Amino acid sequence: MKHKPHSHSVPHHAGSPRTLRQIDPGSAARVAGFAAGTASELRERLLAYGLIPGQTLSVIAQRPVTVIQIEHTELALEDTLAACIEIAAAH
Amino acid sequence: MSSELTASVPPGLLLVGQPNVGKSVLFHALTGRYVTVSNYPGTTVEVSRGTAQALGGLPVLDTPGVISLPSRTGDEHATTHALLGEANATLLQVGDAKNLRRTLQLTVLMAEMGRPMLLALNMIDEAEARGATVDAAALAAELGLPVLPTVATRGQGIDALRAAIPRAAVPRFRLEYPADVESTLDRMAAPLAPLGEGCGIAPRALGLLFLAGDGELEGWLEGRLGEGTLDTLRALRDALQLESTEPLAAVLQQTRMAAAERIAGRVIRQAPQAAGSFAQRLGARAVHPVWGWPILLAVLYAIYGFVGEFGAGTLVGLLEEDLFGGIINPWFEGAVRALVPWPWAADLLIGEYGLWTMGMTYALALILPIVTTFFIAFGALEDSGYFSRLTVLSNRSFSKMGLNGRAVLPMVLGLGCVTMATLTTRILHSPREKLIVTFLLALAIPCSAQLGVVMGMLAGISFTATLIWFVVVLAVLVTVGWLANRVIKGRRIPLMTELPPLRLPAVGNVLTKTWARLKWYLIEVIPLFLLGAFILYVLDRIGALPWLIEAGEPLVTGWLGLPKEASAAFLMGFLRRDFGATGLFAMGAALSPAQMLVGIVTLTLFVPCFASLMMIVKEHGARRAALMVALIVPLAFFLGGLLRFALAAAGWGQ
Ligand SMILES: Nc1nc2c(ncn2[C@@H]2O[C@H](COP(=O)(O)OP(=O)(O)OP(=O)(O)O)[C@@H](O)[C@H]2O)c(=O)[nH]1
Ligand SMILES: [Mg+2]
Repeated sequence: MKHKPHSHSVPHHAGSPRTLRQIDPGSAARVAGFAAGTASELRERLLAYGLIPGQTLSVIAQRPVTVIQIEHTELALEDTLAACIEIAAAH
Repeated sequence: MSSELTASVPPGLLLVGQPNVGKSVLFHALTGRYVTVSNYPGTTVEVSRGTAQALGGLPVLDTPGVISLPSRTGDEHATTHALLGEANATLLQVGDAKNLRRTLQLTVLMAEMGRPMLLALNMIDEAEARGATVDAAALAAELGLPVLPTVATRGQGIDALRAAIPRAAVPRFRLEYPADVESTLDRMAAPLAPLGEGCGIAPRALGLLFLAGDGELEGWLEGRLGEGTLDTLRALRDALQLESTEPLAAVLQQTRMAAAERIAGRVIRQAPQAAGSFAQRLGARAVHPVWGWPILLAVLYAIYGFVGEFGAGTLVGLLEEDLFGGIINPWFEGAVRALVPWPWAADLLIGEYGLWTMGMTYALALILPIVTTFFIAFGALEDSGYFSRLTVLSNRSFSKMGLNGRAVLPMVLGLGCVTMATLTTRILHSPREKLIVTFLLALAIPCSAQLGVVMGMLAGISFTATLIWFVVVLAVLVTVGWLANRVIKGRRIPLMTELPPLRLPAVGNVLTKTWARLKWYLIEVIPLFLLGAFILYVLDRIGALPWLIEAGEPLVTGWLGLPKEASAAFLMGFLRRDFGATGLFAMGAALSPAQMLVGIVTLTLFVPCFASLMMIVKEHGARRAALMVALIVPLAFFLGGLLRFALAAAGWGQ
């Protein structure tokens, strides 16, 4: 298999798409996809909660961890995981 | 479907669904059997069985929640295991109506299992409060299976559900996966078909789970398919994976989620959301980096007030001093002296280590009121949804121990019962996390019974003593966790968790849960107390106790600085830590505050009780359990001695 389990974090560098980590609390965002190299298990779970491309979510907090609301579920994600979720450009 | 294979076992009803959606509440409603219900995902970690009398004795199974399949953690594996093992069981998926997309994503997988199935759309009340209405009839038509709206906690819709169960049929639903997945599934169908017959699961569904890499299924297949066949299946899976840049499990999951999204869009009406409710705002405050801490302090203070002051102070005073000390015990002693002519028998009941004077008095007058108040406070907190908020608040501290905030759940549960908490480590993702948490539980988390004795004793010394005890035990927990993180290889898993809505605790559920826990205390803990008192009595009678006390002297007196009689307490500590602590308590005025504190800290860190030791053996094997005990006992004495010298140097409580 090409994908190692548990390789959660991806380094973030300038010029790459915006991630969930950079969205201000209190605002909504649209999911674009997952950063390359996001672990399979993490993708599965996030997908199961409804984080598929095109879906909107709202950001409740960014500290101490990222808290988002999708449908009526609140989900807490540590920063390395939030950085795996890419956000579509504002429209 | 196969007949001979299943003729002996009547097919039952399997409750499946995502975590924290109300499966266990429904299980109770259907069977009358209570299993723990709490407001956080991961309450149920084992399969429970019951029977529904109203449905002709139908066997019903409650399972741990799964977000989606394939199963990834120990509790989820138990669910897959039940799915594979319960041949031809009807599936009752319990779903959260306010999170319909997420619910349906699992439904579209379950609906292809080839089993009769129904969907209970639970928590309709919360969905409505948030302005979401679901058209159940339209949904039933889309999925080709009965959909029943319920509010399990209020018993709404249960009768209709009960009536629908016998009529459940195999759903006419088929989800079209991407073409290459479909063709692989077709090719896998033939080798999987014979197994599908045996367990009553459609080969197509087995294929889907296999493609997604379900660990439990893989093991199950190994025992049933020849190596050759299994290799063929694996080769098909690898070939399919090569065609895709995304992991297969994610491809399948995305297909299901997209379908769920389409269906949900057609059956749900969402009114515009009003501003967050009070509960939602409070929930956000509880995980706030600044507000979170005063809220935590307020919660702790409330617990201290209710358990420490009301339970350990007022209630114990009434029971121990007034009722037992003033009325029951003098009367009982008089009666025994008058009626029992043999001094050895009278001693057995009312002597220094008497079954009544030591065993029952401590169990009923001292510990019972404290654990009762603790169980009430704990049950209310469990139902409130606050524990999941602690996950976020504590994440940072746990990261130093190589864990994430999810570890707070088993740790906090350990304050109730370490044995149960050890089982709950199943909700953690890696064996490494499980191992670290299990060890910390065994070392430094006192269970409710022990906490009861400790609180009672410490309150008798001073608040400073309570504080020192707390700080020392916490420091040990953190330091040992930090060390374990360095020693045990493997990487840390970042936090991802659901935060359930804050809810007002349901009085009925809190009381039921308290009673279930009290029964555990009365039935399992008290007999051990009696056994402990009996063993001491026998050792004392046959003259072995003085000898053991002599043998323990270098350690107990030399190193810990306690009177040599305290050896007896440590001996009892092997049986249960709380019983050991009670032994110290019995020495009362013979100990200075410093000695008392050293004894209590040593016993807090001492070996876990026999039941939790057995649980460690079950979950981690005898070798690791033995290793843990071999580390814990010397560590407890070592740290106890250090504390003795530290207190002496500070001149505290000499
Ligand atoms: N408002 C509301 N709350 C509910 C309803 N059903 C269950 N609950 C609450 O939801 C929480 C979870 O219930 P459980 O039965 O423990 O959920 P579960 O599905 O067994 O959860 P796991 O064992 O973690 O998978 C508890 O606090 C219940 O009181 C409902 O219909 N309405
Ligand atoms: Mg449950």
